[in-house]
Order: sequence, then C-alpha cells, then structure tokens
Amino acid sequence: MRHGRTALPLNDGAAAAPFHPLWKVAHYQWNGTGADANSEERYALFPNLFDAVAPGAYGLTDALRTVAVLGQKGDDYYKCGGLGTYGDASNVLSVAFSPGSDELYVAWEVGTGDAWTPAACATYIKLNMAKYW
Amino acid sequence: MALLGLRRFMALETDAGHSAAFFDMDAREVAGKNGNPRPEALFRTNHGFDPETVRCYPCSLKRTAEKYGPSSGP
Repeated sequence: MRHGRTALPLNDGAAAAPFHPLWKVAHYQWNGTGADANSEERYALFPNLFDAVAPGAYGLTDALRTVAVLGQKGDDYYKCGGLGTYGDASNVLSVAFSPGSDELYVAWEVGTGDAWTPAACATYIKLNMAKYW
Repeated sequence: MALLGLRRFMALETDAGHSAAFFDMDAREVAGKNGNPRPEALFRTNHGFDPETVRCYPCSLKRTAEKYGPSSGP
C-alpha cells in the first residue's frame, strides 16, 4: 500500500440521521494496477454527488449511491457496462455504513479475468451490524 | 465519544513515520491543488493534501518497498 488513508469516526454513535458524510476510498497498489492513476478524478466526483442532495438530508441511500459511483468500473463511473468492459478496475469491496443506525450496504466483486464484475456493479446486501458489537 | 468535545469525523493521511489529521474544510485541502472540500463532509481517494504527505510521495514509496518488498508500488 503506497499511501494509507484512514478515517476515524469521532461522533458518539448516537442515532442521528441524516449523518455527516465521511468517505475513504482505499486500495492496495500492487504492480500492474492502475488504481492510483485516476485518484484525483475520483476525488472530483464526490462534490457533485454531495451537492445533488439537499443540505442536511444526506442519508444511507445517498451513501450507497455515492460508493456505487466511486467504485472503479471502467471509463464511465456512472455506468456498469457488463462483462469485459471493466478494464483494469480494481473495485473488490464496496461499502456504505451509517454509524448512527449501525446499518451498512456491502457488495463484493464477482468472478475473475474477463468474467470479472466489480463490487460496485454487483448486488449490495443490507446488514444491521448492531448485533455484532 | 466526547473526544475533544467534538462530534466530528477526522481523516488521517498516513505514511510510515508521518500522519496528518484532517477535518472538513481543512485549509490545506481548500488551498490544495484540485482541492474541492465541502462543509460537514470529508472524503479522500488516494492522493493527499498535507504538504508533507505530498512532498514525500517518492520517499514513502521507497519506505513501502523497503517494508513490503518489490511486489508493492505502481
């Protein structure tokens, strides 16, 4: 990993929705991956996604939409083009978490090689993490 | 958690031997190249805004290679 970016929640976890968004897009940068090349492009996607939601109204569904867009999936971040269109994208795991409600959406990559689908183009499941901690 | 009396999120830009803490609308991000922060939101991909983090991209890569071996890096 070249540069770690770790985000720490400093709120007390009390139920509060909508919540203040905090985002971390991380990846390992091993030889042969292009994940670093468009880091600034992906950073630039965030403001438009936030601005599309009314102030104070940002919720978990909006968070899900944000992570789904930000996951690497080829040239167009707003489109899941299907098998064979994802290039060297490396979106293994895609997660949106609401610390106030303990709920999260998570999706995992599917397949390998030409039959690979990035997490953001796979199926998300919703979990309530309260029973796990 | 009432840490520092704050109910805010913080992001850390970390490399070996150096970490930089950020809250929303941090002056380094406001003034940074291509920085475009928002109030009450905090987001990062894989590039930093802390001057030392940015200055040390090459040296942090060297540190990573020393720690993890030749399979790491771009």
